[in-house]
Amino acid sequence: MGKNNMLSSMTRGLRVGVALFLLAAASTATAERMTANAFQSALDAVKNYAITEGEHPYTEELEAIDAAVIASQGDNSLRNAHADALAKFLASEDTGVDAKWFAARQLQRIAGPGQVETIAPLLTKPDMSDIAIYALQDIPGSEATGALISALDDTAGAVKVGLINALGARRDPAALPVLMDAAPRLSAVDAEVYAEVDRAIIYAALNAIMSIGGADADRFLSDHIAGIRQDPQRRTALDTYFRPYITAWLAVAQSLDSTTEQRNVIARYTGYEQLRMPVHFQTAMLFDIVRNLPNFPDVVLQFFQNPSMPEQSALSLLWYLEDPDALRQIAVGIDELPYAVRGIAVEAIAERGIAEAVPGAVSMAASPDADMRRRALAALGFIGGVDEVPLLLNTASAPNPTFAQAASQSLIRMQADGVNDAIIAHMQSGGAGVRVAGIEVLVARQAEDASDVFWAGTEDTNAQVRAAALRALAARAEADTAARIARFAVQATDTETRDAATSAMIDAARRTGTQGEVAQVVLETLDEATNEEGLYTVAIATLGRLDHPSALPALVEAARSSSVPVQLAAIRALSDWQTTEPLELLMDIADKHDDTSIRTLATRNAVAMVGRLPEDDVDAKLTAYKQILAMGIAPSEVRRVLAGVAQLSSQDALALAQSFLDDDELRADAEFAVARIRASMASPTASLNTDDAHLVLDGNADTRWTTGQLQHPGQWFQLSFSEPTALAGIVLDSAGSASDYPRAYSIYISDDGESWGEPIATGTGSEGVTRIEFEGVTTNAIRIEQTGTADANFWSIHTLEVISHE
Amino acid sequence: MKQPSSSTGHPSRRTFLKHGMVAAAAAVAAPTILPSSARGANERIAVGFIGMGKMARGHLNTFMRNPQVQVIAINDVETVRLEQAKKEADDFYASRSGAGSYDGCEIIRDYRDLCARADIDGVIISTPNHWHALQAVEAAKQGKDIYLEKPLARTIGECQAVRRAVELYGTVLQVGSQQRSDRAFRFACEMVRNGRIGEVKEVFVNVGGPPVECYLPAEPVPEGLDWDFWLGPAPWRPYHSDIAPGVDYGGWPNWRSYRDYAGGMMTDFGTHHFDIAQWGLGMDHTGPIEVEVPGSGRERLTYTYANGVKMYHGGAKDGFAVEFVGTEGRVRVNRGQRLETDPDEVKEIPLRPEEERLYTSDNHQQNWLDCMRTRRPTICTAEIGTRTATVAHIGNIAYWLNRSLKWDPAAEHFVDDEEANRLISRPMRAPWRLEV
Repeated sequence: MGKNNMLSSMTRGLRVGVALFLLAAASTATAERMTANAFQSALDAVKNYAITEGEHPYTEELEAIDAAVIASQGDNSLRNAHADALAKFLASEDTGVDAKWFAARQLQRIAGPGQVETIAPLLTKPDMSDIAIYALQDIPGSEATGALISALDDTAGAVKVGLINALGARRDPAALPVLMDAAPRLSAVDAEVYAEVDRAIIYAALNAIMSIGGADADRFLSDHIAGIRQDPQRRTALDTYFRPYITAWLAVAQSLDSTTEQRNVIARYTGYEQLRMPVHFQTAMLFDIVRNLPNFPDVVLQFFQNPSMPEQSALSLLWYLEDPDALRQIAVGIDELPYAVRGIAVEAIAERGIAEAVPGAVSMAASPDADMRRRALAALGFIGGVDEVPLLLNTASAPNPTFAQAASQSLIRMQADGVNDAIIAHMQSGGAGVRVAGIEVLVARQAEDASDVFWAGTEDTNAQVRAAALRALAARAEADTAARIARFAVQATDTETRDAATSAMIDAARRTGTQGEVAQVVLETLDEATNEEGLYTVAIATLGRLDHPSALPALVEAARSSSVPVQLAAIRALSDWQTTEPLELLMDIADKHDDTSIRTLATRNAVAMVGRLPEDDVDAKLTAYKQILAMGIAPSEVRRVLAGVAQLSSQDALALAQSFLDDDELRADAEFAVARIRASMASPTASLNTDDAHLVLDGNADTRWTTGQLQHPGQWFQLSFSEPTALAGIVLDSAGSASDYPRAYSIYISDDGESWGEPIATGTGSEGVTRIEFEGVTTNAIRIEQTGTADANFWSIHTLEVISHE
Repeated sequence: MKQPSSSTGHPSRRTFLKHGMVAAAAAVAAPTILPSSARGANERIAVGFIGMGKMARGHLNTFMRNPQVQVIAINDVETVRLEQAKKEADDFYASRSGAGSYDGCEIIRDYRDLCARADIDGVIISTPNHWHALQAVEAAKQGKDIYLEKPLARTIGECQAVRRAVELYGTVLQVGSQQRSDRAFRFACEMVRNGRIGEVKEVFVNVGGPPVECYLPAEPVPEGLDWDFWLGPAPWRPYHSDIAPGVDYGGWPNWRSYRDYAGGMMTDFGTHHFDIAQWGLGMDHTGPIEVEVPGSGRERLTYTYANGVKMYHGGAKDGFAVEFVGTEGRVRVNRGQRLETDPDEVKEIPLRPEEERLYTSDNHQQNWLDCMRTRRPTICTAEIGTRTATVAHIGNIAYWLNRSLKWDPAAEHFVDDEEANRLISRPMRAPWRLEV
C-alpha cells in the first residue's frame, strides 16, 4: 500500500525528534569537559561546516562541542578559554557562515567582556552583523554596550537598525544619549521627506529608548509629544509617522516607579484629546493615571461617570482596579455610569465582594434590559444576603429560564449567614413555584437543617411541591429515609404523589443501600393490599425496581396470580431482575399461558433475560433461543430473538441466523445478525494499542479502543475475517467518547491482509456515530484508515458494527 | 452629578485633589473623540487569522461557524495554505448567506498589515512559537484583542513582553490552554483547592521532553513559501521540510521539537498540563522556586514550590495527564472527561456554597469572545500563560544546562545564575524586535 511511505514520513518527524532528544539527553548526561586544546581542535574540524542538501555534516562533532560548553560550567578559566576560541572562530575568515552561526549560539550563552574586542569588528560588516549581534547582545558589562555604540557611526540602514535593536534589548541606560541623537522629533514636513530607511532608524531608536525606560527616557519622549501637539499640521496619534512616539511615550510610563514619587499624571495627560488617541491608547493612559493616584478613587469615579470616556476603556479600567475604596465609590454611584456598562460594572464589582453594589444590583435585577438583569442576578450571588433571598427565590421560580437559572445559581452560591433560614422563611409565604425552587436550592446548597422542611413538603397541598420534596429527601437520604418514604408512598392517595414517592424511595434506597428494608415495607403492604388490585400492582412494580432478593418469592407468586394486571406487573418486574433466576418461569409462561398479551410480554422478557446469561455460556443462550423459537412466536418476537442471536459468536449462532435469510419478513434482521456474528468472529487489529482492538466487538458500549494519541493521518483499524465476508458498510460508534470520531477516513479491503489497493470509500466522520456505506463487496479484511487531524482528540471506537451484504 | 466624598483628610492632598479633579474634569470633558468600541450584544466581532496551519484550520472551522464572528482576513507565509483557507471561509459564508459566491475574506501577506486594519477587532495567532511574541505585541499595539495559541511564547523574556503589552493596553488575551474550559479539569482543581484530598504534597505531570538543536540538512524551498519570513526572528538556516512541511503533510509539523522555534513537548503539551497543575495548586501568579534535574538525587525533573509541594515531570498513573497527591487522597485527570479520585466518592460530592469556585468557562473560544465585549479578563490571561510557560521553560533550561536551578518567581529570574539568566531571552535576527 502506497500509504506506507506516507505513514513513514509522517511519523519520521516524531521519531527524529524523539531520537534527537534521547541523543541530546545522552550527550549531556555523559558530557566530558574538553581541554582548551581539544576544544580548539574540535572547532578547527568543523570550520567548513555548511548546511547543504543530503546528510547533515558534523552532527556528532557539533554536539560534542555543545556538550563541552555545557560541561565547562563551574570552571571559569576553562569556560573563558572556550569563549575565546569561539570568538576567534567566529571572527576568522576561514570559518563558513553556518559554522559562524553555530559559534554565535554558543557565545550567546557564555561569552564575556573578554570576547567583545574580538567580536566587535564584525558588527559593522553587513553580512556578519546579525551573527555578531547574536553573540554579543547578552554579554554583560559596559564593553558590549560600548562596542555597539561605537559601531553605529560606521553603519547605515538595516545594519544600523540591528545595532540599535540590540542596544534596546540590553536596556543599558548608558546608550540613551546616542539613541536620543538618533531619534529627532519628526515634524510634519520631515515625515514626508525622510526616506523609509531613515524613519526605520528613528523608530528603532524610539523603541530602544522605550525598552530602556526610566525618567530620562520619559522626559525625552514627553518633550517630543509636546512638540507634536504644537505642530501646525496638528498631527495625532493616528498618524503612522508619529504613532511610534506616542507608543513609546505611553509604554515608558510602565517603567517609572510611582511608589516613591508622586507623578503629576494629570498634567502629563492633560490635553491628550488633541492627540486623538485610539481607544486602547486611552486605556493605557487611564491605567497610568490610576496607578499613580491610588488614593483618589473619586478621580477614578469621574472618569467612569464621564460620558466621553470610551466604554471599552471604562470597562477595562473597572477590571483593572483593585483598590476597594475606588470600587466602593463606583458601586455607590453606579446609577450614574453609562447605561451600557452598568450591568457589566455591577457584576465586576460584586465579584470582588464589594457589598456597596447590592442596592444597584437589586435595582438592576428588575431591569427590562435582559443582559443587565441577568448580570445583576449573578452579582447578588457574590454579595447578596438574607434581604435578597426573596427577590432571588421569586425569580428562581419565574417562567424565564435564563433569569430563573441565574437567580437559582446565585442562591446556591451565596455565603452570607442565615441564607438557608431565609430561604425556608420565604418559602412559607410564597407560592408553589417558590416552594419548589426553594426546595431545589436547599438541596444544592446541601443545607443540613432542611430535612424537616422536606418532610413538611411531602404534605404540601401542591403536587409539584410534594414531588420536589420527595426528590430532595432522596438526594439527602439517610439510613432510614427510604423506608420512611416507602411508608409514605403506601399511604399516598393520589397517583402522582405515589409515583413521585416510589421513585424517591427507590433512589434513596439505592443511595443508602437499604433496598432490603424498603422491600420489607413493600411486602408488608402486599399483605395489607390483597384486595386492592391497584395498590397491589404498584407494590409489585416497586418490588421489581428495588431488585432485592427478598422480593423474588412474592414476584413469582404474583406472576401466577389470577389477576391479569397483577401478572403483567409481576412479569415486568421480573424482566429486569438482577439474576436470571426467573428465566425458567418466564419461558414457562411464554409457552403455556392462555392470555396472548401475557405470553407476548413473557416472551419478550425471556428473550431479554437470555441475553443476560453469562457471556461465555453461548450454548445455553443458543439453546434458550431455540426453545423460544420453537414456541411458534410471532415474527415481531422472532426479530427480538434474532437480535439476541446476533450478540453471539459461534458457528451455530451463525447457522441459526442464516436459517432465516429466506424469510422475506425476517431477512433484514437475519442479515444484520449474520453480519454481526461474522464481525464478532473477526480478528481486529490496529496501528496503535492493538491489544485493545477487541473491545470494539465486546458488545459493551463502555469499553473502547483508542489511539491514545491525537488524530493524525496514518492511524488505522482493521478487521480480518476467517472466511470471505459480504459487506455493505461499517458503523463506528465513538459515542462514549463522542468527540473522538474520525475526522476523515478512507476504507480499504484486501483478500490477503497485505495488498489494499485504492480506497473503496472516503469521507468525514460524525460526532458520536459514523456510518459508512459502500457498494457491496466480499472480502477477507477491511481497514479503516484515519486521514484527518484533531488538535485535541484521540480517535476512539467504542463499538464497531458491520453492515452485511448477504 | 453627585459629588463623592474624598476618602482622605489630609489638607494638602485635599487641595491637590481639588486641583486634580478640576484638571481631570478638564482633561476628560472634551467632546467624544472616537466612537465607543464596547460592542453591543448583537454586533458581530470581526477577526483575522495570523497563521493558517493545522491548528488554525481547526480554529477557522470553529470561529466562522460562530454567529457572533465574521472572519475577514487571513495571513500566512505560505501561499497555498492561504488560498485553501480563503476558499473554505468564502464557501462557508456564501453557503450561509445563500449567495452564489462570497469574497469577503482577504488574504494578507504581512501580519503587520493585518493588525493595522481598523475594521478588525481581534486576531487568532496560531503560528510557530518563535513568532508568538512579535505578533501578539504588534496586535496589542494596534488595539486588537488576541487569541494566542499556547505556549504564550518561545522564551520567558518573550512571555514577559507579551504580558507587558497586554497590560499596557488592556488587551483581552486568551491563551489557548483550553483545558481550563473543560469541566473535568476545573472540578479536579476545585477539589484540590478545597482540600478534598487534604494537603497537597506532590503533583505528577505527564508530558514529553525538552527541545533539541536542529541538525537537519538543507532542502529546496517549496514554491509558495517565504522561508525568510517563516524564520523571522530565529537564526538563519536553510529550509528543511521536517521544520515546515508542505501543505500536503497531514501530521503535526516538527518545528516544535527544535530549540530555535519552540520548547519541545515540555511547552507544546506542558502548557496544557503544567497549567492545570498550577491552577490546582493556586500558583497562577507565581511559580516554583527550584528545579532539579534527574540524577541529582532525583529520578525525574522535580520542581519545588515555596510551600514545599513537589511537582514531577512524568510519573502520573497511566493514561492520566495530571495527578495530585494529598495527605488524604489523590485526584487524577485527563482529556475525555477522565477523572478519578482516591477515595472514589470524593468526586461525587458537589461543591458546597462555602467552597471555592474557580473561574467557570465551558467553551474556550467563546470565553474570549464574551470577554471582548465585557473586557473581563479571560480564563487564561497573559499573566497565567506567562507563569505556566515559565514552568516549562525553566525545566527546559535545567535540562539544557544539565543542572539544578533556583528560580525567584517574584523577580522572575534565576537566583545568582548569570548563565541561566542569559537563556531567559534569545536575540532576534534583525530587523525583528519586541516593541514593548
